Amino acid sequence: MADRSLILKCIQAVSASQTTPTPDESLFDAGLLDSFSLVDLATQLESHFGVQIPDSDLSPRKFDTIERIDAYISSRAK
Amino acid sequence: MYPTAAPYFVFLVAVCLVYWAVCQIRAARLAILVVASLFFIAKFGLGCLLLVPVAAALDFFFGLGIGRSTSITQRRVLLAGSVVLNVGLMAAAKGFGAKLGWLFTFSLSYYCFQQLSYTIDIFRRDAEPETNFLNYVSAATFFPSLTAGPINRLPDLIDKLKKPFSLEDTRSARALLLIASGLIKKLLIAQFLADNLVNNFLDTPKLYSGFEVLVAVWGYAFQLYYDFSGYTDIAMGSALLLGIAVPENFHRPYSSANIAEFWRKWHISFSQWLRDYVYFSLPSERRVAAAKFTNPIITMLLGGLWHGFGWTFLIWGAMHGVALSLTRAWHDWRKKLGKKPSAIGRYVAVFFTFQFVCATWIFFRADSASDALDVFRRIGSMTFSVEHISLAIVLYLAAAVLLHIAPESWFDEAVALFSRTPFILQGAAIAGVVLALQTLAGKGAAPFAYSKF
Repeated sequence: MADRSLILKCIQAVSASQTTPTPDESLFDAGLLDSFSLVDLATQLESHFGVQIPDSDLSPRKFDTIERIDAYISSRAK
Repeated sequence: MYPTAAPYFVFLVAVCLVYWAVCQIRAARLAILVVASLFFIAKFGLGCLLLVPVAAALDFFFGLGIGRSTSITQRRVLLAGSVVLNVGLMAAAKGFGAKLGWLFTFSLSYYCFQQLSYTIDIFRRDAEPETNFLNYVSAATFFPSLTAGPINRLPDLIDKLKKPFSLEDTRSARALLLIASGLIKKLLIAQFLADNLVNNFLDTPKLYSGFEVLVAVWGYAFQLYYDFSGYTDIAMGSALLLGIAVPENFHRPYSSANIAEFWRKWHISFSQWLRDYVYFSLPSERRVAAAKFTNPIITMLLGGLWHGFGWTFLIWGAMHGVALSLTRAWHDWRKKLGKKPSAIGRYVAVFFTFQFVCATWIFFRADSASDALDVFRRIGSMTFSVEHISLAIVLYLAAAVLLHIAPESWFDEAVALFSRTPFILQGAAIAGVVLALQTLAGKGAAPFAYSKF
């Protein structure tokens, strides 16, 4: 399991918002992420978690909630 | 069988009665749904009754193959098969729809988008293939959203249909109010604006003053919104009666402060589809620096071409794409400066965003670029007269604006009130809406604007 507080920090950095979404809340529906900022989030996650996120994995489905980001990073870290 | 016509509601009531009767047996419930959907398709003509089940069966096997294969080459080939099938169907329907009307009896776009979400999600490992054909085909042919959306993400729709069915009071109340709201939006507001303002003023702009033509363009913006969101409400209400919540398509789009926000609120299921399956399929800005600004333009050009192979839609898409890129640059610049928009700044931004969207609608509606330029020239003439704008037009426009900006929570409160109302009063209210519509919009309605795409 990845550090969710660190995931939240990355989300807050790219969204320029201090909102704390619930783990299963859609970041896109909440307006915290959009198609522009998802790329920035991927870059942040790569530098904080030391994982590689290929372009082919840049789909909102994988990064829509903190839970999904956590699952994705955990699977990449294996 | 248009969703504003009486036969659709007779069909819907009949389907619901049988569906609810067997709701405890999932296989029977889904089988009823498939039969109902095939009947719905057949009412448009036999062409799509042949095409849709065959194409759906092919995608079922493509999905299984992509999900089970471990070879990336094999998976890519199977995905390419599904893309060729669905994009080919869409292109053929648009290119040869007029000549082969017997085959392409309704727009297959929404169906094809839905199918592509299925195979692409499986390819990306974002969804598992469905192994039960009945579960799959009941979602693939789901009639309430088949002809004009909202575009379902097929794996989500399959999951929803597999869940046990229950019809609670608030859902039926919400469903009925959604259908009533859809009929009012389409038959009262959109139809009035089309018949009394938009069609006359924009088809022959030279007969009216520049200001009147500008008012007609604003009217068209609201006509399109009430037409399409009215259809969406009926589709959502119909689906809800079958226990399914389909995605919402609109959230007060004309209150957007920039074009990126507009696309988060207008035809949401389509813009999300473009975002998920076109925008994020293009190389990202991490590989190609210019992608930051070119990807929105490429995505919106393709979005424009989906509406039709013509200059007007291409220009419409280009305008939105360039505006999205400029919005991106503007946001980046403001972020660097650490500036946040003020309340007054937001109102100003909403006003200008609406005017820009209206300018794009001129191309969207026109039959040719020169027709669109005629409208622009007439507005640019700066002539002022309001002799052709009746009090009724003013009142309808005012109602259209007020309903658009009304808080969305008001609908939830109306649903809560309606669900607490005695059954007899509920029936009287529905009958009242039907009678009012018959009296006020007795001429019947044109087909939904977006059903042709």
